[in-house]
Amino acid sequence: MWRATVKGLLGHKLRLALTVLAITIGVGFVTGSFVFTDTLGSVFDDLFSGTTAGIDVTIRPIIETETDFGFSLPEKIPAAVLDEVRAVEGVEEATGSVFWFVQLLDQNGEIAGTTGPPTFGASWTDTNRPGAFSLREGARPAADGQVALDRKTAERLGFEVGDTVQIVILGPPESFTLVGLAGFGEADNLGGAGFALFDIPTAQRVFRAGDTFDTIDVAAIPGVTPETLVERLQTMLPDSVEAVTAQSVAEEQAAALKEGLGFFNTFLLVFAGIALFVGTFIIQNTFRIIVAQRTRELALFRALGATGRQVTGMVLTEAAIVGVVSSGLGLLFGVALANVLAIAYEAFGGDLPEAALEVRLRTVVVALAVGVVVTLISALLPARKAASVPPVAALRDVESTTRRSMRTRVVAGAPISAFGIALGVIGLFVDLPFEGISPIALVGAGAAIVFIGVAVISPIFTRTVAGAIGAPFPRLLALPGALARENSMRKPRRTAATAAALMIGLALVSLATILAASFRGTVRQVIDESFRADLVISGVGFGGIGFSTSIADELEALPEIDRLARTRFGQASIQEGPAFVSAVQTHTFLDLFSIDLIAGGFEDLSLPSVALRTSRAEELGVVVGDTVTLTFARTGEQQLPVAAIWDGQGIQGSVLVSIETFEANFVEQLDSQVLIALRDGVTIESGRAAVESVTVAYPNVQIQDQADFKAQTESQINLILSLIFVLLLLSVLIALLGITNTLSLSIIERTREIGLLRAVGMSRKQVRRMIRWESVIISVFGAVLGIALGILFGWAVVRALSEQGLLFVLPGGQLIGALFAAGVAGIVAAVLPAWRASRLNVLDAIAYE
Amino acid sequence: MTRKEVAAGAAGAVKIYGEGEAQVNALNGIDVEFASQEFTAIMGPSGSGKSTLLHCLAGLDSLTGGRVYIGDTDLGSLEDDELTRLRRDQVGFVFQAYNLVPTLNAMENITLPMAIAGRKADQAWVDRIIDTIGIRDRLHHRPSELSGGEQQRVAAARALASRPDIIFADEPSGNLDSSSGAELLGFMKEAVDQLGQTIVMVTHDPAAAGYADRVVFLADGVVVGEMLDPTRERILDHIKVLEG
Repeated sequence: MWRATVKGLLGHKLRLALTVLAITIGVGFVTGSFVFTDTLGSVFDDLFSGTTAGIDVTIRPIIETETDFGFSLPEKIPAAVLDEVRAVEGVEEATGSVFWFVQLLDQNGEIAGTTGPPTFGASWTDTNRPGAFSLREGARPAADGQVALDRKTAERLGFEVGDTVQIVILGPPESFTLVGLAGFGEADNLGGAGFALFDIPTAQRVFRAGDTFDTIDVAAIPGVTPETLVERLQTMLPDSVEAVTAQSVAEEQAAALKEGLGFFNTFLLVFAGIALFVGTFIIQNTFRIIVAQRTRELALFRALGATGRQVTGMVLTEAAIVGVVSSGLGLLFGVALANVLAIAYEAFGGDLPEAALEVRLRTVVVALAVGVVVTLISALLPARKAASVPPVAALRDVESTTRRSMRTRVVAGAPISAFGIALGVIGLFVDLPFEGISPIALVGAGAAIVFIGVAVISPIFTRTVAGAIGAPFPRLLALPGALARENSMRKPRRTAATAAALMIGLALVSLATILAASFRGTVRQVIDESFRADLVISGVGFGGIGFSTSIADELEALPEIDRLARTRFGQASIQEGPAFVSAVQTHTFLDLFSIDLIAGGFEDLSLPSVALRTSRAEELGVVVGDTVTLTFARTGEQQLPVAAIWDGQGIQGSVLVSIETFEANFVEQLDSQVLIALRDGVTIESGRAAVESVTVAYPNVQIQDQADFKAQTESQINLILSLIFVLLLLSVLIALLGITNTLSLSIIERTREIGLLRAVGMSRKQVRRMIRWESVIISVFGAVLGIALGILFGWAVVRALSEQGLLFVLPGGQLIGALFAAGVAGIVAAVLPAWRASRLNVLDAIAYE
Repeated sequence: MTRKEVAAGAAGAVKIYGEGEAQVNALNGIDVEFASQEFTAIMGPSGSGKSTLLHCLAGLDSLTGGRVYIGDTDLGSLEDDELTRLRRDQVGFVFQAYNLVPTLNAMENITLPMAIAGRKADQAWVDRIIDTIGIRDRLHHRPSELSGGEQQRVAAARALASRPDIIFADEPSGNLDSSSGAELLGFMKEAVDQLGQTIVMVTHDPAAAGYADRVVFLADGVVVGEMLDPTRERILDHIKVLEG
């Protein structure tokens, strides 16, 4: 049986080629993702463990408030602590360091690298230990006005040792002389982020640290273990400060970076999963057709004495071989893909030391297993059907259309779809009482099950829908068109199965389109409703980093400005949960921010107090007059009364405090936004010109009016959408390959019929036309189903997010465009099969057995 | 013979398959003519070249040497597209099986060549054929709903419906039981006698050949005999002579 299987397989090489491709692509993405993230993870591990050489213990302030968005700075460590640490037994050396984020200006005077990770600014310890940073060229900064940059950034911006570099830190840009180029461990920058290094006094000055430090690095006398030193230090350090081994700090830092990698890995794996899911539909269809075409051959085996199970085994073995071969190819493809990702990473500013790509055993095993398992599962149903071929079919033509009633399909498919919908609804709308199952995973699983359910039911209405789609064909395309329509309707199960793959791809594409349109529409409406200012000043660059408070001070003096309102953002925790705190100027902000006062009043905010958003107040169960506990990084726990309750889209976050309260409780003081109302009679243009006269000295801010603001937000949404689109396109591509595949197989089935038509006088062009438009009907059918599902999913998701204010926008034009594109794709998918059909030798065809 | 026109014929036709040891000389310089408005049968043992001759005459296969023609048209001079049009407009076919497109009903199958050409059928002519054949009550049925005999009769009706210059039939009654076969062949004869058609039929069945006006005997790729006004018995005798 083994030889028969292998020979059977080789006989169908071409038929299986496209099936192999689907698995290869899916497995390739799985492999590529793992290889890339493993490689990068190792690079980070090496990077950070290399940096602890020479440092044994790090002393740092205890960070109480750490949220998903980052952390707020605690109070720094006074210099006195450094002196005390130096006196501790076992300490050989102790140095303090200061760090924060900086922004470099490029050669054109604009902020460099606004789309990448931020630049890290730090002091460079002036000891002769091998530290984290290593000098590559030039000298270390040793005086005020001197800076060393990472080599990668210097190269990218075109700076050489000796040049003047302008850097924005907490105030207006300052000029520094580039005295050296540095690297971090083996790499030329810090996992994609650049850095700027100063000597300690300079760092303390520019980061406004006074005579304090952010951390103290301690080296132990040889023979003293880091752990011992930690114990000794803990006993003498103030309560707000802790000592940890440098090793654990390195591990923490590496883990933080790797967490980001983990998200990226998951992101790619999701798309690989979608590709493989689409692939299962294609594989199942292919094997079903192959089994049907080999009825006579399989019947012969049965007639000669093979059991049904042996026949099933044959088909499954074929599937397994296909799975192994395609997974193997997928592995190779995945390694190539990882290379591409590495190149992209370097292009976006990352630096990979000469590391070979890491292909772990786990990756190989997972890739092979995934490929084989997916293929086997997909081939399971057709394989079992193969066992039911009656032996007598070897001798005469047995009509194999088991007219299992359509009712069975509804009975099976409806509950499946209902189950999938239920899962999705639970994931979207129900608050799960237990941890461990992510709602997103539930929604995803629900969607997948709905797809399966719909695919099972769809043959029921294939005839009607395909007939409707093809209704104009007989008139527009004469006989070939009529035959195309008839052919698409004659085997509803096959048409539906072929279209199913495209249905999935288009459902996801429609979903993405609808979500993007909804986001865009909501944002536009929110901006229209709540954008009361004439102009807004905000920070340019990573994560809305703040800018110098002196800008607003200077702007206040301008005659063109009627009033302005500044805000600052920070992180804290409120009664155990994280809180995004916005600070506002109590007198002016109501004019410029669109806020509805629900209870209380904002006048009292200047007394230390908070104003809570309605949802947050309800969550905490407090009303005006109650006291809440806020924990700040700098000042710890504070009891603050609730002065007001408000709602509205005009400001982020749920906790408002006054600027004064913010200044009292936070270390970092940077404005995040300044809203400006111009005097009556002043035009936007002249207002903007006036503001620019102030901001010209601060390249790290931008001025926007309402239109600019909208445009920027929209372009951000569009960017994300494009990325998702590209990845979804992969699945659509696989689906189209599926259509090509099925068409080719069904043409083989219809060889005699095509031969007859050619004999009776149908031209090659007419044959091509017939195949082509059959493909179009199938594609459009899949697209109709997919778009309908996509609208359903889109509506459900938007509904679930409507609490956050998301509105449902249906981009009708884009969806119709997608339908049209599916039709065009159908034409493309048919090119090869149609060509082969037209090339059939008429004589061979009519003699075809 | 000279009083009738020549509908089709072959002159020195040679058809060779394969090379060297595996070479097969299907047609060995065969010369034959088929008259208009006649029912001609081609008979011969396996390997005699009768099917090959039919295929080449119909424009389904090409010769290695010599000439084959329909009317005044030398088929060797035609391109594929022209051959296709020839088959559509000037030639009718009846095969042993699988004559009909499964997704079309009987009526649509009958008018298939015209539909391919984008022309309207001559309705009076088609009606006449349908009534002569006697399948009017089966017109809206699909092939899967017709018996073998009915399918072949629909195929014959199709072959006639486009009013071709000549009809080629390859073992048309081969898959039918004797009564359906007789029905079909009787109709074909009627088409020649009453409707003025020309039919060339390949068969191995002497009873079927008995319906023809003339039988041409082939062996080893050449004509080895002919018989006018054949009957089944005379044919059987002649075959014994040929084999003897």
